[in-house]
Amino acid sequence: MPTIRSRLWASGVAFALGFALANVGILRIVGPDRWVWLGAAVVLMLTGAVGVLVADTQRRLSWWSVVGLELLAIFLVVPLLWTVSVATSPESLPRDLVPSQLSFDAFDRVLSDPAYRRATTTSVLLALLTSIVSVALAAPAAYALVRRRPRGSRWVYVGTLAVLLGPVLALAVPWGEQLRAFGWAEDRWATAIPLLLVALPLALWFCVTVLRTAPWDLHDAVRADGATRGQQLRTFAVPALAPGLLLTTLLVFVVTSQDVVVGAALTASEESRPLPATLLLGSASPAVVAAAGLLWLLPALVVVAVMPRRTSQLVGRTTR
Amino acid sequence: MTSLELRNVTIGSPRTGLLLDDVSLFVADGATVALVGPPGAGTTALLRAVIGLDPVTEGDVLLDDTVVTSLGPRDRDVAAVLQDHPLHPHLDVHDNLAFASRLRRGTDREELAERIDEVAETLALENLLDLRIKELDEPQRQRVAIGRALVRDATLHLFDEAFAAQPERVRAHVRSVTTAWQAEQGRTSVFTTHDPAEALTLADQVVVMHRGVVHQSGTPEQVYREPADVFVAGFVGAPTMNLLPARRVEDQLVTPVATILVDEAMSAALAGRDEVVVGVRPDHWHDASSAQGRDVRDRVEFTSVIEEVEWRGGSQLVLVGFDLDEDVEDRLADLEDAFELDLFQTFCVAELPAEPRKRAGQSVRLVADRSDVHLFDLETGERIAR
Repeated sequence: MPTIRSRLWASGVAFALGFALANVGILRIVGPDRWVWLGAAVVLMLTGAVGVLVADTQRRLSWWSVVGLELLAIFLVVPLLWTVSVATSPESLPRDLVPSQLSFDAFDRVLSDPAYRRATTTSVLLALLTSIVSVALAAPAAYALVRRRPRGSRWVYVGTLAVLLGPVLALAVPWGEQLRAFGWAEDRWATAIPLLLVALPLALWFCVTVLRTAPWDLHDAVRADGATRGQQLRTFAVPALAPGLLLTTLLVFVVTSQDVVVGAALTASEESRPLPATLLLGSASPAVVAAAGLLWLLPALVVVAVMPRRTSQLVGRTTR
Repeated sequence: MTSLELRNVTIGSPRTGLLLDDVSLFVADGATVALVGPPGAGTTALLRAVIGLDPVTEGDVLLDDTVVTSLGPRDRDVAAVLQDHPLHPHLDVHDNLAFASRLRRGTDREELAERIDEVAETLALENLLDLRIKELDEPQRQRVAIGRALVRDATLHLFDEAFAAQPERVRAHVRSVTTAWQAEQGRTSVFTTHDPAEALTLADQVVVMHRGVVHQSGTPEQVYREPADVFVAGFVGAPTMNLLPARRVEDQLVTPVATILVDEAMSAALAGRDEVVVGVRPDHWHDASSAQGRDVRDRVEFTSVIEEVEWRGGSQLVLVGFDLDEDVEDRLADLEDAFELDLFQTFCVAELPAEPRKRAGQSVRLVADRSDVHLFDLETGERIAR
């Protein structure tokens, strides 16, 4: 528990840093970049102000969480705001963090461009397929790992983690050669199997967490009550496991739909390329890329908005 | 409604650890039985094997003389309160109570609703029927779990640590309404508990278990008055029985505190043993100067200085210390290791009336009736019958 004095000191330092950043931004930085400096300065100065306000309360706040929040703000929220301003500024005017005129042309162009539509459809179909198939395969495997605890299950976890941490690009070369050899590189489904290789370990990792935290003693109670297999599915599996598995599917969907590496490396033509790779490789204007990127953020936001607690629990428990 | 029998049931293996080791047990139709033992005794493993949740490695489980070892829980039709009383969090109390009965076709709805109301009233749940499980506190949840079992009309009812979460004040009441309900319906019930006092009050048959082995099965009186070995003697009763090493010197048994005259009957029982363990319950020692002490006829007595007094309001515990030879201590330690329980102390405890109050440093003369003195084999720990 930090003392009041240390809180006041930290608040003062944050405020002074913010003040310095603001001055540098105003005096030395020209053009729209000045707003990034000012944004960071506001974050720091606000932290200082809040720090003074909560200095003498009993609220338990670790300094790491404050530092984390500030880093999040500076490295995520500021660029996101920047992206919003790029997407909504008319291209004829110079860019500004707070645009003087709003224009949704870029969004219109993304939504009406057939190439983007095709790429979006490809991305959604691929992500749907890989997320559903990977969870369908991972759930029974996770059940076996968690409930039966077979020998060598530890090596399955190690392998899963290795694949998760390993470079996805390593998959691209051999798969690319195979796909081209079979002449499938131009097909929309070309990247389905390589994507599945990325999605499967992720799904397994999450499913293991879901099943590990499931109330198995309730399952025993349901069995003791004499439930048939169908009744166990309806009265235990659906209420106790389905939300976690659904969330896993959504998270895997979000991750696979954001894939750039596999999509960019393994597809041969624009027709087979998913959206993130199309944005990366295409020659569209920054405003259009920004608008498409923002639209593409929606699925992730929906997941977090619909099940915020479960998401943080699942991801938190998995990494713990 | 149903008798239960376990024939030489073993769960686990010596390599992975034995949860139950060659357990045989018979529970008569309509009986109330308490399985009691310290944590790890195997009572929960036994219950789960009877329900059919876990397979047995060897032996057979019989319900009404029919072997059900290979049947699943559904075909055994046993109602159970499992440890930690799991409930359906997304259902309200009423639906949790009705859950098991609704799984079966042909349940009469009106009859079920009536029974739920009765059980809810019995367990003080009638005002909670519409609440979700997470709105209840732990004792209420446990009563819902008990209610789930009571509502069911099953062949056999099992209760695993079913009263552990009840606060001290109401535990006795919940226990008695549960056993009364079961008796009224003529049901066969098996309870498990870690609390020996609860086991003695719950059931008409008490089974004392330790590390997967049944040490004694009998009426509460038998278990209390004639413990089968030093484990049962040291586990049942609070405070537990004083266990003292004793050596036979001619016609006397010499313990660290008292010397006991060996009569003919005792001599026959000792059957040539030179060393034994003598056991006397704390409440069987009396102050020799009190009326109760003066009434004791066939006496075992000694005088000593009081080391410590624990005054409890209704009674007082008087502790009298003594020393042990090193080699005797080693042999007692071997026996403790064999039973994995702290059995021997270097003091003797007497539970005396609260008045007159005793003080540390005072001298006290304690007396017990010879019939209240128990003898156990020093090697095996088993009771020596007299």
